[in-house]
Amino acid sequence: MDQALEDIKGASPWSDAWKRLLKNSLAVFGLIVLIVMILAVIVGPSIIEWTTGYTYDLVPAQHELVKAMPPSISHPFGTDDLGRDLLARVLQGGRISLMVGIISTFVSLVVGVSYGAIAGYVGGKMDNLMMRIVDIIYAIPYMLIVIVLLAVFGGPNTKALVTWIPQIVAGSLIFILGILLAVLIYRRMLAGFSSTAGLATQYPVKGLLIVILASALLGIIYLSSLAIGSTSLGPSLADWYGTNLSQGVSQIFLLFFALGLVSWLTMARVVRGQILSLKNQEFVIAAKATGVSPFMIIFRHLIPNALGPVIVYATLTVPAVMLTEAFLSYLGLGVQAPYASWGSLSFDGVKNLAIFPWQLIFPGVTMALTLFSLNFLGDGIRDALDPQTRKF
Amino acid sequence: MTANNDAILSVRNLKTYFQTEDGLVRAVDGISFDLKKGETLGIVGESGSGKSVTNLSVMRLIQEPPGKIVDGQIEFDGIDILKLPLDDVRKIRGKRIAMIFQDPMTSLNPFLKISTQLMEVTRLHLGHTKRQAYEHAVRMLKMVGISDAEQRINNYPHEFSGGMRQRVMIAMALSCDPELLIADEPTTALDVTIQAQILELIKDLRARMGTSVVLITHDLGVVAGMTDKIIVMYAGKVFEQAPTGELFAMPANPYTIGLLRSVPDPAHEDGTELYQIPGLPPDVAHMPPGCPFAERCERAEDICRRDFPPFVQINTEHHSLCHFALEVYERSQKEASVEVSG
Amino acid sequence: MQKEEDNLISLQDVEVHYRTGGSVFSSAKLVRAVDGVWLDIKKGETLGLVGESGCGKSTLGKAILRLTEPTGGKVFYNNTDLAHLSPSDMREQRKDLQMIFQDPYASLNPRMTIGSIIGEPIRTFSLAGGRAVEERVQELMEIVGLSPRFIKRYPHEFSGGQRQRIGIARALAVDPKFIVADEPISALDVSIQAQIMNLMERLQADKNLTYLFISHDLRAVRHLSDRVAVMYLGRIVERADAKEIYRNPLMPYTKALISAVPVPDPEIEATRQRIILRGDVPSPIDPPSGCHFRTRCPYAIGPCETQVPQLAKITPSHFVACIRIDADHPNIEANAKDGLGSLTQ
Repeated sequence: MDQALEDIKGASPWSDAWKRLLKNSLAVFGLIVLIVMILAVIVGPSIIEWTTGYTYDLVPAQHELVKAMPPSISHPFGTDDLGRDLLARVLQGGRISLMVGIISTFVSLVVGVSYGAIAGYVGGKMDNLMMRIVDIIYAIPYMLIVIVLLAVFGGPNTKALVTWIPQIVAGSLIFILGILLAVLIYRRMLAGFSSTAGLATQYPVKGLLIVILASALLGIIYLSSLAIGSTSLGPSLADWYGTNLSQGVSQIFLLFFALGLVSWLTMARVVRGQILSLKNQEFVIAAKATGVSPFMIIFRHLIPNALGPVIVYATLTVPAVMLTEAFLSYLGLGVQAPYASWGSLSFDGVKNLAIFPWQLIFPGVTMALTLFSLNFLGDGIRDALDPQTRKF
Repeated sequence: MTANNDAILSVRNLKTYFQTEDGLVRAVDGISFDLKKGETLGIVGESGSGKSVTNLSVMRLIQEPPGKIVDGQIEFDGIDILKLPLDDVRKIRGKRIAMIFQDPMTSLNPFLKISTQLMEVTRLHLGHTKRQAYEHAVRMLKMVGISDAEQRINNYPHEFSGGMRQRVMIAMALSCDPELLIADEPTTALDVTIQAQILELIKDLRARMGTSVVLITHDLGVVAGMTDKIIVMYAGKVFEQAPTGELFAMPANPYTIGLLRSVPDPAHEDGTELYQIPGLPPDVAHMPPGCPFAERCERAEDICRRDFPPFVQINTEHHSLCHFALEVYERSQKEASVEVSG
Repeated sequence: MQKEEDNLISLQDVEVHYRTGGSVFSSAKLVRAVDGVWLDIKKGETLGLVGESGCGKSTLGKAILRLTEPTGGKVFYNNTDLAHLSPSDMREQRKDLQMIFQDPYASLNPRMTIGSIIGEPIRTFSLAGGRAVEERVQELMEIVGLSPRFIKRYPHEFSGGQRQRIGIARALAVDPKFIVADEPISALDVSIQAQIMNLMERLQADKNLTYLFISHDLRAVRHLSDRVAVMYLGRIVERADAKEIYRNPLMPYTKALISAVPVPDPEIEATRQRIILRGDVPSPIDPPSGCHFRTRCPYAIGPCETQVPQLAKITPSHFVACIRIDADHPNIEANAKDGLGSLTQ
């Protein structure tokens, strides 16, 4: 019986890949470092504050000696020019750096994958139009986009922008659902006019049900977004980063937004290319031949098979975005004091390199370690998903 | 066993293993054969039987790792290829032993003109000048039946059809007048009418140039008209070895019989159900202890699942890997005589 | 017109044309992949469709199932013209019309289990729900000779022949009436080919299926088919009973095709005379005028350049498209000797 049970269970390509990934020691190393890093960044600042009282922006009053201290037991990473604990700052900076990377990558995953998949599957003129839009956005230097965004929405405007995020999300959801509804109703009408009576009688009931459900859903989303937006979500997000929704924090959100805006472009291209080569594969034709709907073909047959390169690309996007953020912060377009990111900490450290080297070494090494780990993991996933030594 | 003197190629106990995720794969496991000068040898087998690996081993083209020639002797014209330094093997490759591959679409470099690719070989091996090489290339293209070779030689591979590309490949393979030509499934990727052209061409060139040929294929129909001698491979072993006529008329191995009977024969077809070999080829990484074919064999008995079968010599040139080789042979003999008298 | 009754599929002047290679500097060229095909497929029979690569046989098979859109003509199935159905009406018809694919490696979604691959058509058409789907899938797996224990496994864990069985089980899941089998055995090993052919024959007998068997392998077509149609550059050039077309091919192309098949018998191989055609199949982008085959035909004459040969009846079950052949003079070699055939149309 046990034997039989064992036979039934198949190894999915994912679990196969996972096994191969675990065999790759560099990738496992990367994975462990990343997990440790994420945990440290999430709980670290609270622990330090609880045990020693230091926070990322605590400037000790009247203690000249604390300024620019080398590493010691009370300050394992030393302190900066103002006497702030560097460990607390590095961990706090990690929150921002990692969040920048993860949020931008998430945006690029959601927007890029669906955009690319639709363009690739629909093909023809639609594909052409969609990809030209991507080309146009590509052609605008992202620096310009970021600067314009900061100029328009920076400062007090951002505060409003951030509080509106839920409404903006709800608004776009309503917009998308509205379009979907229109398409559905249109197709039901077509079906109703078609000669086959059997189909026409089925549809009104189903169609009505869909309309009612969808409008109920829309209402709920809109109402809840109003409630959330005006009270909890905006400030609580800000709380997590610092004390209040100050200008510095709001600029970080702008940074997320700006980087997300540009980071999905390449992803869309990657996915589109994958879909183009997949959609003429026989299993997709086979799905068509068995009457599977285009929606199911995209989400069940195409996207899961395109995910390999997507995951790899995503793990490589995270470090790229983090480096961009560091660069923007250096230019004064990213995080603003008292907040810090690994990038801004490193650039601050460079100024004092000759006298207080630890101010560069600690944030720099932390960042480099994370980037290395991400790259190792990305390479590992790529090798795991595309093993060159297939079954003989 | 000593190497035959008039043999151009003599393989003894060749073992090529691959290290894979699943474990050690004995792709070729102790095979031996001789090829006399001017003869054509057919190697027949299904995918994974080790027929291609055998010939890659002869050319020393096994990628290492994961592959490795662990044992054996490959004598080409008295030279032990396995003991030769790679530089010397390279001098033999393409000059004295040439190879044609299955897929003519991928075996030519798409970025280089046909002329460049043809000339490269002779300039390298025969030390031709540019002019000599060019003239030789045109001559070779004419020989393989490409009309207006003078113009076509300056085309790129994509301007040729599949059949034409295979002709170019043959021209390239034969341009140094090799003593041995290894053709690995040369017609599998081609259409039937083109396959007929290419086989006819190989036959014709062999007769004219006296080249020895090793023809690897899964198609018994192809070897029937082309070869003097056939090796049937299964799971890395030689299952049967015999002169062509005898192999088809009086097979002495149940696997060969199964293969022969599972091909629909349009010449005498009577609409009955096709004979099928049951089951699947064994997992080469986890070979059963006895005969690798036992699970699928009609004749199999307990001994087949337990002990590895002997390589039985039936007559001077006919060998079969089977516990019951003689019995199977006698039955085929009877059937053959019935057919003749009936 | 009693004959129409037992036709399951009836193709009338089906065309698949598409444009390719257009750029700023050159206008797109018209590819006539399928060029005016008339063909009837009778209930319960296997029609073999033979031709070389690029002759349009696969395109024709896909056009019947609307997997490639036919650009002209009609495809009748049970008196419904499939070619002009709306996509949603066509989807309803797919329950009856299925396909088996050539490449057992590419035709199964590598990220789905065998159970969900075979079960997908059942769910799509809501033929069963919940637990019943799984039972039906297991039943199908047994029918095609796979152990139902493998239901949770993934395609990469199977060999080519087993995958082809999975593909067949998927096609059978909706209880189709008609199956297009597009080169179902050409990617398989010899010993496995026989297994799949026998399986297809058994299923046909058990379930009263009708096959369109597309293949370049004449031995397999001869074995499986009741009738055979030979295609060359988008047109049907000869159609006859499977035995008849082997014994007595009339069209010069069919003759060459059949003589080119290697026979696994050295004695036959040693004695028989092969007809070796010159050259390659011309491109369907710019096919020769008149008879497409004339550039390779040993019997081509002047009028072949201008006249498009139509399928003409030689015997009630044997049709040939060649202007040098008619019912009274079916033998083209004799006709060529006598100088006949130039004006018969």
